Amino acid sequence: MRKIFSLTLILATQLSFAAQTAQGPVRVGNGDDGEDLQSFEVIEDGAIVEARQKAVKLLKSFKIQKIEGLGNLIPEVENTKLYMTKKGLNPAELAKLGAFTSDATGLVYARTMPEPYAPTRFFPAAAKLDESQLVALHIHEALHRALAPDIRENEQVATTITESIVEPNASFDRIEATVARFRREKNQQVIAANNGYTGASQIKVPEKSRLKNPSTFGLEARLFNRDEDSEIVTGKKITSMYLLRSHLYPFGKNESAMGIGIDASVVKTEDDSFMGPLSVGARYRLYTHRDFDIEGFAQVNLNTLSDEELKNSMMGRDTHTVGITLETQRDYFYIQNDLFYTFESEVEEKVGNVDYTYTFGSILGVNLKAGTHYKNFMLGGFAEVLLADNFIAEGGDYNYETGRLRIVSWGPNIEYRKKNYSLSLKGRLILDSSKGASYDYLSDLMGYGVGQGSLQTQVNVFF
Amino acid sequence: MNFNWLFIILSTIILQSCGVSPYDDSVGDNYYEQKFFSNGVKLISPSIDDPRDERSMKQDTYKLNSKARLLARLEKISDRSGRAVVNDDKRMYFAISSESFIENQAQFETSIEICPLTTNWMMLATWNQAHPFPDSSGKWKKKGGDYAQEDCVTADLSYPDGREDSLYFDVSDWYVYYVQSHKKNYGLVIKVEEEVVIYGEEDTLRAPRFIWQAR
Repeated sequence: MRKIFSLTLILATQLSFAAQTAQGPVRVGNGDDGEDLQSFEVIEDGAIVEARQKAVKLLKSFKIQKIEGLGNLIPEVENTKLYMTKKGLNPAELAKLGAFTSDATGLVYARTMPEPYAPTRFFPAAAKLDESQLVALHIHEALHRALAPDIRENEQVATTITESIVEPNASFDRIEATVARFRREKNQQVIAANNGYTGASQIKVPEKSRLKNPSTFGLEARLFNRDEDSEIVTGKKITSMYLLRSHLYPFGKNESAMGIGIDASVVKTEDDSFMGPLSVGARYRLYTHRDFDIEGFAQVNLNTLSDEELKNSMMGRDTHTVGITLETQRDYFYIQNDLFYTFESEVEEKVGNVDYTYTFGSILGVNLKAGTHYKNFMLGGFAEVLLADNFIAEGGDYNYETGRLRIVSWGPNIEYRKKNYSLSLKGRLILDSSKGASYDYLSDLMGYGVGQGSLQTQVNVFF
Repeated sequence: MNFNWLFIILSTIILQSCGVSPYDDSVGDNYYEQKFFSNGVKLISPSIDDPRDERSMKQDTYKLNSKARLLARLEKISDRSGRAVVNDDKRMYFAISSESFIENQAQFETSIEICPLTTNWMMLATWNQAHPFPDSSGKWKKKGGDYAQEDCVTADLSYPDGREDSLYFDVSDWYVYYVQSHKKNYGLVIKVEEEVVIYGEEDTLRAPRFIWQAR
């Protein structure tokens, strides 16, 4: 068995070598100089036909049709018309038929055209191959017809995928990983070409990527999980918050769009409702490399529209945040890392006849979002670590400092997304914090909310 | 001309040797009274949970009893008392006023205690908490305020020329020990078992106040 596999690999290697030396669009295996060929006749039985049946059986055993990009492989193996080349064609005539050449030995086994349902033509040298090698040859030729047009003519791609299918330890996952790797590499080549670009963009953006439809209009509701301490600190019985979100990307192309977003909010307390913070932000794709998108963003949360009472409490903080986002979307999962920094800022509050100044130290935050997607559903969550520098409260002869605060959060995220809209349900909970700190001590109503966390629902439209 | 210059120089030398500078507003042993209204006044009571409750600050009067105490502090007292003289003869007083004192001064002479607070607090203090911020110092060790019982004082009826509606408490020891020596101005708490209504900081004549002699 090992010997057979070795022979198959040798054959595949030869195919690969032929690929490197060929000039034409399709390069296949060798085995004959072709000079003794004249015409073709249909193969109706024999070792080549039997090998085809085994190839189909092998492919079905892996459920190969479920691998993205290989959906047509079985039909291509199963239905292609098989011909045997008869004597009479010289190498020049052979080249005209397929524009391929042989390797150093000048032998040719088979050839096909890189088009769906094209026939496969075998050469007399193929008769010398054993069954395993013929199975590999059938699959190899069929790949030239079944793969996506942008990679089907690449001999190296067909050879490597063939190897992944016929090797003794082949599995669905390995084959799928091999195919996915070539798709990514192809995307990368297009992106690299685009970097020196003069014409229209050719970046392959995943269908569900935010880059496809960067502009967003949405509504969000947040229900806060607060306790008595939260009310004491903030001076407000804030129960919920409603946001209207409009992020428009009028500048640049989709994959390099620059957007400006506005979030307006209404805060609801047990007693009344009032205008909450206003957020203005910008986001720009800085770089794309190996399927990773790197974006920069800046956000300013202003309390200029807050009511007078909210301004005169700890929640009246203006925040200025900058950060970068690293994101990748794969076939079945996504990962997004945010690294951000919020600058120090102050809030003043007059209590009785004493003026107090609350100084909120800078916040360094890392946020990891990850999840899996299946069809239109995304199931994931986030984990976040916030390190906030010294919180200081001072006024008169009173002075209080917390030192550095740590808040570790997590939360689930369930999302249903069609191409142009999404519905999502998110949670935010404090997992661990130093000195009993809560989101109240970050005083960023728009960013983190209040209390111990929140439950969020969103409806978004993308365009 | 030479005589004039000689006179000016001699006068300056004599004045300097007497310790008098052009910026001093007192001369020799002349003292004057300084009076500062307590700007940090906060009512704490088990019935008031909200630290920003309007009833607990900026009031004309406060009703005190065993379940309602008044925290009082002169913020930045060190800056204000730079000229204060506190010794055996010159004492620092804390004064509170009430209509009830006019008729029943003797009754409240001993029932009202002024005690030094031993935990720093802010105007968001409540019966349970010195401040709302997270850590162990946020809550009073003992509900109703942490104070030094052994340093509590009662009214000093020997205060000269006091108002009839006011009681004066000698807080000199508190000032010297806590404020001057330990740099801790945590203020005072007014304790009383029986009910009494005293004037708050919104009454500009009779608000809780500190009085000392300065020179």
